[in-house]
Amino acid sequence: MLFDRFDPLKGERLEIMDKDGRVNEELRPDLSDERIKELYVRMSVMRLADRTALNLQREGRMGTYAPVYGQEASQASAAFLGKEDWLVPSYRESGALFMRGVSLSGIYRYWMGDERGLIGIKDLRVLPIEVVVGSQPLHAVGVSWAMKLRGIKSVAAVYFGDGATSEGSFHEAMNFAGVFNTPTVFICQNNQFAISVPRKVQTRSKSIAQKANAYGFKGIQIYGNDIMAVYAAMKEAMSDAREGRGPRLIEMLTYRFGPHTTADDPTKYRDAAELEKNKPFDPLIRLRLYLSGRGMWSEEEEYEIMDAAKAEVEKAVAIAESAPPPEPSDIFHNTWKREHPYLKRQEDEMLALLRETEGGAPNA
Amino acid sequence: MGEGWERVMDQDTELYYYLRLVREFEDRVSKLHHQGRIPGGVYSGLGQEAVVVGAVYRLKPEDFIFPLHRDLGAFLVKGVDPNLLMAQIMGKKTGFSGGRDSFLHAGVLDKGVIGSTSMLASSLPVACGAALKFKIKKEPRVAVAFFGEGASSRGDFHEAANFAGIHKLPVIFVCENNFYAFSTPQSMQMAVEDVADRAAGYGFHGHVCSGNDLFAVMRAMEHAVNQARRGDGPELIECKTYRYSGHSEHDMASYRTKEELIEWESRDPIQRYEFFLEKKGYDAAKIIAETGGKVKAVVDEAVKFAESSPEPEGPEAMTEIYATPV
Ligand SMILES: Cc1ncc(C[n+]2csc(CCOP(=O)(O)OP(=O)(O)O)c2C)c(N)n1
Ligand SMILES: Cc1ncc(C[n+]2csc(CCOP(=O)(O)OP(=O)(O)O)c2C)c(N)n1
Ligand SMILES: [Mg+2]
Repeated sequence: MLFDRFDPLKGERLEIMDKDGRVNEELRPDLSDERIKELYVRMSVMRLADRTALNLQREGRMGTYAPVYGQEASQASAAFLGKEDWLVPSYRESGALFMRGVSLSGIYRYWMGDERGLIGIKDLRVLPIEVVVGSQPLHAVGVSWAMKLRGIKSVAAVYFGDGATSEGSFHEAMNFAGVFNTPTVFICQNNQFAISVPRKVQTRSKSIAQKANAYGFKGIQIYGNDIMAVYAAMKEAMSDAREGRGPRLIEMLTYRFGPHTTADDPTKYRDAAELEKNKPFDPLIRLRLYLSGRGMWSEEEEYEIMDAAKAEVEKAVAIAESAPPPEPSDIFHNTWKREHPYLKRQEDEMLALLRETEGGAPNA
Repeated sequence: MGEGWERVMDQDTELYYYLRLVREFEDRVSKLHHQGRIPGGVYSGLGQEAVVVGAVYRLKPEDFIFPLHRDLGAFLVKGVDPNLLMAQIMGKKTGFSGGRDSFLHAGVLDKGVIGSTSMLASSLPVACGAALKFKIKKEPRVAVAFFGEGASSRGDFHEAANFAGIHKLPVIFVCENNFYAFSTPQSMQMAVEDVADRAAGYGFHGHVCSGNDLFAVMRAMEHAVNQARRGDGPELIECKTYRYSGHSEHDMASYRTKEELIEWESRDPIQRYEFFLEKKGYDAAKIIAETGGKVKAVVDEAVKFAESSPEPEGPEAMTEIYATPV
């Protein structure tokens, strides 16, 4: 069992496919080459969609966005959830949502400032995007506890960053999960930064994975740019959680190639050399090398993949941009189940103000 | 640490004096509360005396301690005047907070005792703040923060421990694990056996000791305090102990068995210390009797002082809350 074999307290971490696409055969998981190819294709679309979002924001066509560039393999972990499982995302999970089947156009629309873009995610068992750092682990524990109490075999997989682990709510969630043995899988994408704060000043703990020991369950550190390691760790963690063997923590070591969000300039706090040093560990490069070694990838084919990706992404942009803008009143809705008199008063005031000032919605 | 005549006693008898003083004081506070002579809640630390004595005894006057609701003994060992402490607990004008509240919310700054709030574990980040100041100013002082195993489930604990680890702060986290948080047993509080295990998640050491063995607590503290003063960072010391009374005076503690209580009473920290005195060849019976008389006199005097102190008039409740009055 991987979680027992790779002890974070001993500095051990799981890697199956190295940066050159070489596979440690002894650890090779049951992932067919066809499936790997499919994952590669989806991750390529993810990367293009991600870059497109950044460009849209730069052109003033999107409000803000948190890129996943460099973290595609970790994000792809969402592909290893079952239909009945829950995905609990942070703001940096556009790639995970995409893998889960949330429409790209919906994701774009959300970041364009229209929350209706993600209105259907409940059907996919995805919780709303959480921006309050470190708070969503609590939600995941609550959801998975409910599943357990109802006797439904369903796991909640929650995503958060290295910075989030310093929040008290992370501790409370982990502790609760340990005590009540909830079917929760905690996925920490350690991308080495919390905005400008590097991992080494985030915690003095050698790994984030070892923090699981403090709560009486198992944690593992893996190379999060290695899709095989991601798959293998996810498979074990999900099945352990599902079968009541306890919650699990997976620390996925990765690196954020891009800015924290569109409002961030990483050159202010990290040197170009560090970024360059990490570039060869790109999660897509190793997959390409692997597939090419298996005769399943060629440059011509790459063009085809990219053409198809471009078409898919452009279509999503078009759908998102053609959606009618949200009503100004929407900001007051969707928070409380019932109408709240205090909010109603504010809404009326705003509408009156809008009518006075030529009545138009301040939308472009 | 006490001043005056206690100082001239040798250490073995002085330690015994503090153990007994804390117990006598705790015991009296409980009795007075039952008689309706103490307003508000009382959270007895009976049974946990060795933890507060062992953790505070060797500290220097300039060190800071952050006691919680069950740690009135820490006040006494840090040198707080028993008269004033009793007045505080009785809500008198002569108490530290001038009668604004009772019990242990108020601190005694000139003795290095920082008061707590009712929010469990909220003083741990404050202890880190004090320790950060010591570090920045290069002062060889330490901050000692107390908390129960229940409080260790709070996010505040996590944020404090993590911060202390990163910045290698001269802070010592003393966990009094008495196995219950109100009625919640430890097994429903955490899925690990030792709170000390949590330290590994913050990059420093966690140490487990018997909180009923005064010398075990003192040894652990000595190591941790020296390390912190050297600038080598924090430590978590978990002291396994047991409270004899309920969570507070109104709690009958029906969630635990009589057998369990008896078992722990057989490990009483004070009796254990008395065995030590005997074994070391002291005239234990004499020390026990003399010390008993001394602590009774001190506590009698404290009660007399407090009861004869004036009540607050009322309007001062509005003052000295904010630095700048609102
Ligand atoms: C409680 C809280 N504090 C601060 C912020 C501001 N903030 C947004 S993202 C972020 C960094 C989070 O870093 P990490 O958890 O490593 O995730 P990453 O962004 O690297 O994926 C901060 C500090 C916030 N949103 N919520
Ligand atoms: C944040 C917070 N939650 C709940 C309480 C109520 N409360 C007071 S003491 C206590 C139990 C604390 O247990 P523990 O930390 O183990 O300390 P002990 O009382 O056993 O010394 C609780 C739940 C509180 N004071 N603060
Ligand atoms: Mg991060």
